[in-house]
Amino acid sequence: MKVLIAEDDNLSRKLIELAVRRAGHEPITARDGAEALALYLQHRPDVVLSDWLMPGMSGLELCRRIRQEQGDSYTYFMFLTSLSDREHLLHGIEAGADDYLRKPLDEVELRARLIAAHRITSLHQQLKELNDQLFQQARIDSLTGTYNRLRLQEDLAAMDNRAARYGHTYALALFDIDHFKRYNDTYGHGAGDRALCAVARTILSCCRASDSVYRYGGEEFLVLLPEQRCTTAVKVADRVRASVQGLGIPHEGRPDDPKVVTVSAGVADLDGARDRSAQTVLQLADEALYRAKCTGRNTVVGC
Amino acid sequence: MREESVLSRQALEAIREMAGSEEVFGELIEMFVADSQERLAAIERALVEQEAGALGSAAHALKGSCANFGAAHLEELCRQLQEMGYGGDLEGARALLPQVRLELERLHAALARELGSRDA
Repeated sequence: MKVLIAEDDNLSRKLIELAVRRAGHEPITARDGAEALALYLQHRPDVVLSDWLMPGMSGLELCRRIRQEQGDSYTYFMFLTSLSDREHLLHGIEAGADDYLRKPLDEVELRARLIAAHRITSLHQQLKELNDQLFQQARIDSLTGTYNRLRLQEDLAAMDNRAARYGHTYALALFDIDHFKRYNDTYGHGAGDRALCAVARTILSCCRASDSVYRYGGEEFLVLLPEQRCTTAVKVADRVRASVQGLGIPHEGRPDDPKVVTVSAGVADLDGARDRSAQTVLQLADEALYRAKCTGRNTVVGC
Repeated sequence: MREESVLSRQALEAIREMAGSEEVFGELIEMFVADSQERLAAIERALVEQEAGALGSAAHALKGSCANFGAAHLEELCRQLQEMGYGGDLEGARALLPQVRLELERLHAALARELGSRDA
């Protein structure tokens, strides 16, 4: 671990530095609170050992500042206290310190505290990684691997902000698998799931890296195309439509032709929405999709 | 016998252990001697300039530094000096100063013997 030592007394600081190194850790040393804070921001150490009284910024102030600055990763903060500082002990822990270490330094005590510190910072790190994973997982549709409605809400809100502030635009393409209920009735839900995945993969492969694909409903997918207008988005959507048909997944249960899985799509862009809101663009795309369904399916309609 | 009251043999051996070599040990001692002389000068200066707060913090610093050697008597003197500083009792501090000076000299002498005996 990186261990930042804030101590104004040269001998004490040097002794702690030696002991930290002997315990197998990497010491970083500061002579006062201000220097310690600067080094903290530069090196992001795992552990801070700080004297109580230092010229300029006190240990207490340093502790408070580090708690403000630490961000996602947890810093284990310990005060170095002599017998006469004991009255401040509770104050220090209340200000955010995790533990304290008596001065003059006892090497065994230091090692014991650093083992505990490592355990705590590792737990925090694991917790953060699991939280990040959960955050991602909560925004992904588990069947198809596309984004889900939660992610869509967040992305559309972000797009609306950017559109309002910087004049950015975007298009939405809403896809629906034709006669999907009949597909499930004919081939079963397992086959239905596989068809959904195949369509999702096809949509993803037809889009750019900057586009985002969401599972919008049971058999509906939405594509968000940043900086694109209806005409170009219609071309992308038609490429998807042709590719899905090209997969040649048999669909004998549908009343119309071709007897393979196909999609219909409705496309709209921000400029077509009178109030320039995502809600309206979505509604326009939905209306366009409805027209595509009415004109015989396996079709793309733009606004 | 006299040396034992000036510093703690156990504390000194712990420092030697942490230093890892006689060379580093010598450097640590020299650093302490230079720093503590400076702290003492700061205490004397604070008394002349009647800066009670500065006296308190200089005494606190000297106390923390010599605590590393388990110099209990000197530490106690520094603690008293620190309290007099923070309490504004400059007269008391002035009266106590010769004892602090003497005890620090004894510590320096003990440390010098420590280094000398190893060199010999």
